[in-house]
Amino acid sequence: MSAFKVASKERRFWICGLVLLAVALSLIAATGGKVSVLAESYDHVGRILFSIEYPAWALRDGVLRVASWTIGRGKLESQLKELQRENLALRLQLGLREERALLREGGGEARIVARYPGEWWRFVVIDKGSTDGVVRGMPALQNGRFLAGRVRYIESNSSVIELISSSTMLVPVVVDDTRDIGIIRGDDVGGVWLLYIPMERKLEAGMTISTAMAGEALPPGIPVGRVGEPGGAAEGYGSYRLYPYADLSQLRSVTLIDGTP
Amino acid sequence: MIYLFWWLFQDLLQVLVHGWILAPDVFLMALLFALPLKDHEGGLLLWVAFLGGILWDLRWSGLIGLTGGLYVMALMGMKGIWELVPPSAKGFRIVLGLVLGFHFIVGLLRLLFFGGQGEALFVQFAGQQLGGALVALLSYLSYIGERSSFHE
Repeated sequence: MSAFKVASKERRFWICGLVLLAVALSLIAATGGKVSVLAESYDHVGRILFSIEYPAWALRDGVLRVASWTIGRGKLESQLKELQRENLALRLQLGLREERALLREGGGEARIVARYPGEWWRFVVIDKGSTDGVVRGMPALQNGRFLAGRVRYIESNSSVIELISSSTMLVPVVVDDTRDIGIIRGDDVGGVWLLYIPMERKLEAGMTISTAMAGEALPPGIPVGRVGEPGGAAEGYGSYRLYPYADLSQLRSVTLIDGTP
Repeated sequence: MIYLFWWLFQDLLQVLVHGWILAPDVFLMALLFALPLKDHEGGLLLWVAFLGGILWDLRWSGLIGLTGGLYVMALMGMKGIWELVPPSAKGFRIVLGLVLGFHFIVGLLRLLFFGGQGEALFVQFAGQQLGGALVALLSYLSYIGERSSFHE
């Protein structure tokens, strides 16, 4: 009788395991790759865990601040950030969009609170959402200066930024030296490419790229990166490797700017 | 309740090391340790693993079902291998080896599932495994300490 009980318990374990595995696979198939699901789930769970995680976030920020202060760069870094922000604001004001491209004050700086390994080069989650005035399409800059991505999906307390290394992120750009217009697109594995440059135009490595006037929420003149080696060509257009200024593997925070008219 | 503590501990660890490395799966390790060493209802542990994994996916991995499935698979693997170990060889060291092995396999499968792109992700994985080894070392030291105090 006892042996029978043990055997039935064993059987129950394996059946339960197989059922749970099937459920897990179904969940992956049903929700995999849906950025809206990803953002919504993060927002709900993040809100529930906020108070529990708060001390750890505070500790982390404190350690980072102390480390930065210890090496004597804290003050210089904040001054540099301020100058960079000011510089960008001036550039944008002097540029094609004039006073429309205003830097958001206060809530512009957002901390990266999640970066999913599966979407490593595509999305990051920040701790600012619609309640902080974040709107879809806002550019996200590293160090308040270099284009890192744009707001793709917004929840009330968090948002998803799509990085420029994502293959679904297309950004109109201009080559500063030649004024050639192109599009940048990521390859989902960390690379960024400058596309649609006419074959007869030869770009040189090191030429700088910035955002182009696109008639939408992306202000022109934001530094993006430098031209690298040429890639393939198709239908009369060439492509070039682009080396972004923003260090996409080292993102800790981003500055959101309001480029809407 | 103890597993909730380990889940939260893993979550807090992830907050602290986020961006640099992946936190070691201490929640999974606690479940793997419990499976052969404690007189648990195995099915219950599977449910705990599954729900903990789903919650982890919702919070950190972004692919709902992946961690839940991997955790369940690891427990099933642990149970299967443990049954094959002859009774005379069953001991803490074997458990420790299996726990470390499954921690590695789960981390590796996750990495492969995600495509394993880039040096940054590899560094995160390596950090996670080192963290797991540290947890295993601590549990071994605590086991030795407990055993010696028992003999005294």
